[in-house]
Amino acid sequence: MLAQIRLLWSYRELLSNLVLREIRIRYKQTLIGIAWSVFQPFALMVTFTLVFSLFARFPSEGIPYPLFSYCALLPWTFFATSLNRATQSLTNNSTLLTKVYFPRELLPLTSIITASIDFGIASTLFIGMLFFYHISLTLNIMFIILILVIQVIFTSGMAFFLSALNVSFRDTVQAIPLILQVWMYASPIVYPMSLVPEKMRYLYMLNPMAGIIDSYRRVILHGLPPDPRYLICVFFVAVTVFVLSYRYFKRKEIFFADII
Amino acid sequence: MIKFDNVSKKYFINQGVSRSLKELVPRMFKRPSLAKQTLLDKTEIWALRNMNFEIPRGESWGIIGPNGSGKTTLLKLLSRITYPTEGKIEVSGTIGNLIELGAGFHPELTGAENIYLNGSILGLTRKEIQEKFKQIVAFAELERFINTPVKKYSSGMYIRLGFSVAAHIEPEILLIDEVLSIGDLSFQRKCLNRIRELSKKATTILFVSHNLLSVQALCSTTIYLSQGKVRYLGDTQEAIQFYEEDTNLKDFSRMIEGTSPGERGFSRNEMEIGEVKTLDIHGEEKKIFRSGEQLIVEIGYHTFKPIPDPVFRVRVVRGDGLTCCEYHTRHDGYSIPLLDGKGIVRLETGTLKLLPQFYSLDISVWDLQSNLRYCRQVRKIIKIEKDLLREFEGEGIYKVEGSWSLLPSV
Repeated sequence: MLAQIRLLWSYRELLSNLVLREIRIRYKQTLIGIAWSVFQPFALMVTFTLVFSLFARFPSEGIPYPLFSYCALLPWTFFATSLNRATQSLTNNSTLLTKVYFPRELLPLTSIITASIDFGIASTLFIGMLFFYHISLTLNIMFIILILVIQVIFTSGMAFFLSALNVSFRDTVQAIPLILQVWMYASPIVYPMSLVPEKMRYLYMLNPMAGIIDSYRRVILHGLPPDPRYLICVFFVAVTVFVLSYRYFKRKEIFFADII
Repeated sequence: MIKFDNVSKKYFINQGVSRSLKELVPRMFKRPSLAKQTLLDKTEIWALRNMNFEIPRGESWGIIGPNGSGKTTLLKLLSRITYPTEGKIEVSGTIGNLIELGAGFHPELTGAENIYLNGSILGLTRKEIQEKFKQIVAFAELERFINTPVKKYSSGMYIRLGFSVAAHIEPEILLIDEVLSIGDLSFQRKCLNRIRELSKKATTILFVSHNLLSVQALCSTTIYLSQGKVRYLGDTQEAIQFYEEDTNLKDFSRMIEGTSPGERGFSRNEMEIGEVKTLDIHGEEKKIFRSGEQLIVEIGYHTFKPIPDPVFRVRVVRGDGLTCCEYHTRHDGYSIPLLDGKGIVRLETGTLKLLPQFYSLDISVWDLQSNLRYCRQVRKIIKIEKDLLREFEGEGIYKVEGSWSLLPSV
């Protein structure tokens, strides 16, 4: 494991160049360029506010609904974009895979890093919104780092698994947008956690994204520490997924060039 | 140093093609064993078989052979793009890989951006690329276009940039796959010189090419691969000669297929001709003979039931289908009362003064009246080369010396 990390570290320049390439290519010949990364969660936020707050009158834990939903949409978009891109990261770079050696992990990692840059840019709007709605932050905001780390562990776990799976089964790339859509409604994004019946909570909490998103809300919007029961549970699920997926990735890796 | 220890690589022909959930899932429900078959039952091909060699540091080796003989697979194994099915590969030193020029170039990025990207893919640090940037651009002769997206490049410009980046990585081991045949003549020369320069700096070079002249120019040792196996490993000159002869023999047998009288009539399947060896008078097996040399043919056979009085025939057929001569056990005064089981029949010809050409030996076994053939005809290709003592060959089929004299006029 340590040797793996050292190897990846020695390829950090390639990683940063791959990320740079992703970003450059994405916004070449676009008009608004990087603003697209704010536009996507923002548009969803507006839509959700209209549909679920104005029309359907969902409760939002006493928080203004735009803030309530944007706070969840940000990490969710990060997660969903990462997986969407990572799933195709190996297959889209088949020329590289079959012609040059480099640690294959770099490709799904590149997808996650570029998605995290979008995440960062879209977050600036969120900070503005916090000021606009006069949300006072507490020291509990520091928990954000912990939650983010858990989210990244979980995301990269999923990314390794899905990207490797897509090399053998191209069905994966077809299925992922659908799965993510269903998954979004299985996470507390448009509705608060309190709407989920108490009896179903533990089952519900098996979805790591539920715990992660709920924790973000508690820490940022309510100024509370995250619920430790949920967060610990999420942490273990995330680490297990990561370990199993990475192992799967490494086992499949040696056949990538042959079957891609 | 590079060491291949009994390395084999197996590919599945339909790998990745038929393995989709669509096919797999229905089978899983119907018959689980069938589903397993979908995953496992694939036609396999050994791209490389039992490779054993060791390349010392700083040497330049060539790899030649027909398409599909495993040359590229060998380089891919070396550069860890793909992994051996069996055996072990040991490599010490950084590897630079010129398997495909401009792999990793992105059409939307400019030349300069691509230099940085491709350089880091090939293992250079940002600082190293910065230092060599000017050199790379100058070598590629692209100073004017370096800030243009490469999608606007001509294919020549694209390849030049690719080679230029790759040629400036200065790895300890450099793998080159058929990249010198690109670009115009002057650029090809430039590439060749650059590789020579690297080879002087104690870079180990593995060079795959169909251009035998450049292999000869660059490499002292050459591996000749054929169907995934090492046919010859050693002196480049010899390897090339071997390869050329094999190719000629193959071309010839393809050619003669259409022209030779071949098999006539029906054959009974009562025996089989096995391995046929052609030897010289010293008992050394070979396929190339000098004009005027004696030829020994050893015909392995295997009968399915005892055959009385068989006749062995060996026809020597020229490329255009003309039978030049025939050896025939009965005509040559030899009789075999009974043929049973396994064995070898040996034919020793007189001095064969056929003119230099390819010939096929068509071997068949008949009954005494030459009405019935006992087995399928077997063909062996040989080449007759010029007699070293003779300066001219003249025309015709066969050369029998004559002596000339000038008679005094009456």
